[in-house]
Amino acid sequence: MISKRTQTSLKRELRSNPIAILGVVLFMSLVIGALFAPILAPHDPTRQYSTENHQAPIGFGSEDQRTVLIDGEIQTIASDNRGTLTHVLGTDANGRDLFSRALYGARTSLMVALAAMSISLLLGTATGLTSGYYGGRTDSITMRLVDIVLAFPALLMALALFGILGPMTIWIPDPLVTSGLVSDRPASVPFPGTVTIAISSVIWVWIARVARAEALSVKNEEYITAARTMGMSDFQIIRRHVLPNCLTPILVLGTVQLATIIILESSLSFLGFSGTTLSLGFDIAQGRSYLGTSWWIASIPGVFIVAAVVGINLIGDWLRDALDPDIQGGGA
Amino acid sequence: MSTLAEFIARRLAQGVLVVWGVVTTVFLLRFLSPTNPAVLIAPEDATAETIRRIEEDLGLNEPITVQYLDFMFRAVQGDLGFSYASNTAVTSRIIGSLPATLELAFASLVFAIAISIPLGIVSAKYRGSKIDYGSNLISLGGLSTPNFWLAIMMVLVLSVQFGLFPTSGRPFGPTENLSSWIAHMVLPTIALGTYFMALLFRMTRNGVIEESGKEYVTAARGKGLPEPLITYRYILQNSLAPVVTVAGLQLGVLIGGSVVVEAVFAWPGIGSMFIRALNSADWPILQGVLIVVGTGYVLINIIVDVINAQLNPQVALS
Amino acid sequence: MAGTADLLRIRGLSTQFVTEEGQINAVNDISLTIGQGEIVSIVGESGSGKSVTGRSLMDLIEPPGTIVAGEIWYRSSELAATVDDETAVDGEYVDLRALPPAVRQSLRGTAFSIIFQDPGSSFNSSLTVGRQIAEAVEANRRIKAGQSYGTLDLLRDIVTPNRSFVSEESYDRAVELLERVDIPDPANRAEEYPHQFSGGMLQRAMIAQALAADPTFLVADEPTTGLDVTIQSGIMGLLEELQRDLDMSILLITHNLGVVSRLADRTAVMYAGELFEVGPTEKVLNEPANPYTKGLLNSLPDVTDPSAQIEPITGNVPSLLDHEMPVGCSFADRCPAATDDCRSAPPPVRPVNGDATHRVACVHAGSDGGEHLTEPVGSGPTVTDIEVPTGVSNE
Repeated sequence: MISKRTQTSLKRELRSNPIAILGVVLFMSLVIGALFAPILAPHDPTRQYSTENHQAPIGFGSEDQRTVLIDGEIQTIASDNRGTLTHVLGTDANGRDLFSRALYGARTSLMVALAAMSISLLLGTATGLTSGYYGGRTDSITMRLVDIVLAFPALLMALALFGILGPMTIWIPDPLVTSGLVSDRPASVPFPGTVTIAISSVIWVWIARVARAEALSVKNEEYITAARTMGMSDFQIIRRHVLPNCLTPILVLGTVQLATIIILESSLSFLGFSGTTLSLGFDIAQGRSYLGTSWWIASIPGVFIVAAVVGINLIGDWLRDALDPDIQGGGA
Repeated sequence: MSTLAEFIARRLAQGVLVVWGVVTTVFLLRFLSPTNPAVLIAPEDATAETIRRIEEDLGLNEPITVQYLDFMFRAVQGDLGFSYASNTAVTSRIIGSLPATLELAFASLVFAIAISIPLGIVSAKYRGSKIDYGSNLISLGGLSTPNFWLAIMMVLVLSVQFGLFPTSGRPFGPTENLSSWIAHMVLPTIALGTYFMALLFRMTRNGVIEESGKEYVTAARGKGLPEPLITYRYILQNSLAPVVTVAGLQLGVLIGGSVVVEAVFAWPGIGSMFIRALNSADWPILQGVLIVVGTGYVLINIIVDVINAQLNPQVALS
Repeated sequence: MAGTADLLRIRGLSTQFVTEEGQINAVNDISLTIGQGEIVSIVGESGSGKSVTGRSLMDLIEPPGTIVAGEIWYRSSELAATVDDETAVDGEYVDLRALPPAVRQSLRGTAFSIIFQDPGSSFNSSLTVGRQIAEAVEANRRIKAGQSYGTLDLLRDIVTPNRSFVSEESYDRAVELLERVDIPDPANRAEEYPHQFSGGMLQRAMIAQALAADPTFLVADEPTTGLDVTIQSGIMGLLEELQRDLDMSILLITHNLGVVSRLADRTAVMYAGELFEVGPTEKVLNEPANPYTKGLLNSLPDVTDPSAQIEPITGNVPSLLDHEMPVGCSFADRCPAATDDCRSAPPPVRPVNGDATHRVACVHAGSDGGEHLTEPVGSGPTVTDIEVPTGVSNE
């Protein structure tokens, strides 16, 4: 599907642009971390080590005096929340390991991103290509529909859909656990269904617009007319001639959308509308109450998000520079 | 060849169509849920009695077309329904919360534009310099950082650690206590406006780089025009058109972002109201906000198109 | 061609561009004179460096390009009076490249003007034609009056866009200029946008814009290329008429030998950034000395003999990359008369048939008789038909 020429431009740009390599590294780290979360995570992310809560990341923290209530008596005990290797990035208020939670949270983000991206790509490309190719009534109606969907801010729409549909969490058995490769990890992972549907419903329109633009520009080319004269069906023409042409701009747009999806997912779970607590946004929300003391609870998950999205954006830049320097860096 | 007036008229007509679509979509949304719409509309703790009353009030036993026409009819007149959870009309609640959100949105817009455009021009002119490199770095960060996390980090460093700004709230409006209002506005504005600023920066920079290489710019120099005028009227004016277009499209992101930022800073605007409505299942408020936001977005995009037409008459007249 | 009537004496001009693939020598050691009121043409294929030459004279070369060597002696006693002795010679000629940038730039839109090949992309599509010409008029006025343009002026022009920069008088003058170039109904057409003009009309408008500068020197970069043949004649006629009326010197850059034969007094043939032959147009076109010139002329169809063979020049224009340029003549690979002498060293510059006004850079052309010329400056085959103003020594 990706032509030889495209591959060459990509490789050439990658070599001359070390920043793009950084992007790939960051993104691949996210993917690998998320895929193999059960193995890479040092602890069960849901397990509460109640004696080790509020533990700082390695290199931080201090010994301190804490006033606590034990057996009805107020006592001052020594507390030590300095970071240890057991919990490299610290623990949250309930003693759950932050690093493990971050990996599982990344997994949630990735699952949602993949699912939402796939749905949007399918729906958007199909709609856009058809609309652009056939033009006329179909096109006008589709474009009005796109306008209507675009009129609603993505987050608002997602929230509203959440309000109607509820969380719709699907529990997917974790293959790494059920196959026995790891133990002492959650046996199934929660997949936020509504979040995925909600995000897809607002992302597909951007893809549709680009696909339609490509179809429009290619529609009147001579080789299309030639193909039609030779008796190719419309479907075949779209598949063989129109679709490959729009791959490049959609690929570039895809990276931008991926970043948006990840940020949307974390925003939704931050606000508490996710359906799963194994999410980076959720952890950040949790950490808000402890900014003055256990500041790492809110900070660490965010760093993971930023790193992932920076990686995706750098890859997007790489694609844009290599494939089409004419595309302006914009879009959702 | 049409004039500006015809152009506006055409866009308005299209806009009305879209707004109609918006209202219709919002109306249809409640049917996505398997539950009885009356249950959706009633507050969570409503009794069966209340639910029956709601059913009658809204004519939920009538055929759908009648319900729809009734809904449309009322919406056009500005009646967006009644919130049973808070016992007030939706429209008045929205009007009450709108100013705070508009303040934030406007301030963020100004913040974003004031930084991105001059920085974009400078970066383009001094490509490869330290300023360019630094701006690109900041822009990358701004595009990649979720606004709520940026907000929380700023609160952590600037409010909790250094006590420079208040952590949340909007105790006074600008007319009541200006300095307090400003102090409370700073962090939310930066949190909300950063993504937009980063996006506009990139587009401006790319646009200026592209336009600067074109022949009419060389021709302008050849006829002796002063360089600052060339930068402004020749390069900038022509590079702004795509920037303005994308800005208009991205406004939705800004409005969506205000929901989250308002939640973080307990800013009493439409966003906070929306979240509260979600948590108490106050569907009329959700409907009302969606309609208002959707309509507002359509209007803003029409304005954006008109601005574009002014910047680049070739597009409008053709 | 010695003469106190020379307007411009270009000596050893070299312009280079730095690109990813390396350094490109777009213009390599060009020496040329342009007399007062004279039309001199530079002919060559695309990529020969003729456009870059024109822009270099106008100081319109932007990074990654730079003018790396040479002098551009411009005869202007007023200018000479304002600069110190190092840059002025004979109290008459000034080396433009030695002037402070601000002074050099002030020539644009006052004494020097330029018109481009594609008027459609040389006009700002979002401003009316009338306004753009008025801008040229106003720029001219302001530079002559010594007015500067600072941030305050810019702010004022941003805030009041309609009355900004151009005044009523400038706009009126713009309409006058449109009339001067024979555009009908100039007042109404001035309010239209460039895309509403036809190609020929827009080129006239561009000429009108160039006239706003009251120029003594006009660079015309392919003014008729891209226009319909029927329109071309009109443009050429207009240029002829204007040149006569205003006693302008014109540097006519083109690859169209028909235009050259009609308009140009003298012709220079350029190839791969270097000049191969210079002389009065009739001599160069009828008695070409350089094999490249001969090749160019042979590749034209002959109206009088339709069945005659058209002989194209085989091969391609060579690379202009610095590390790929040949030591000897850059045309050697394509030249039917090439010998080893051609490749070993740059060809010498000699007069043709003893005529000092017609010179050629070629091992196999030109005669040794007659006066020898001053040594070419630099390594390329330059045609030095200039007399360096007294007071400056030869390197």
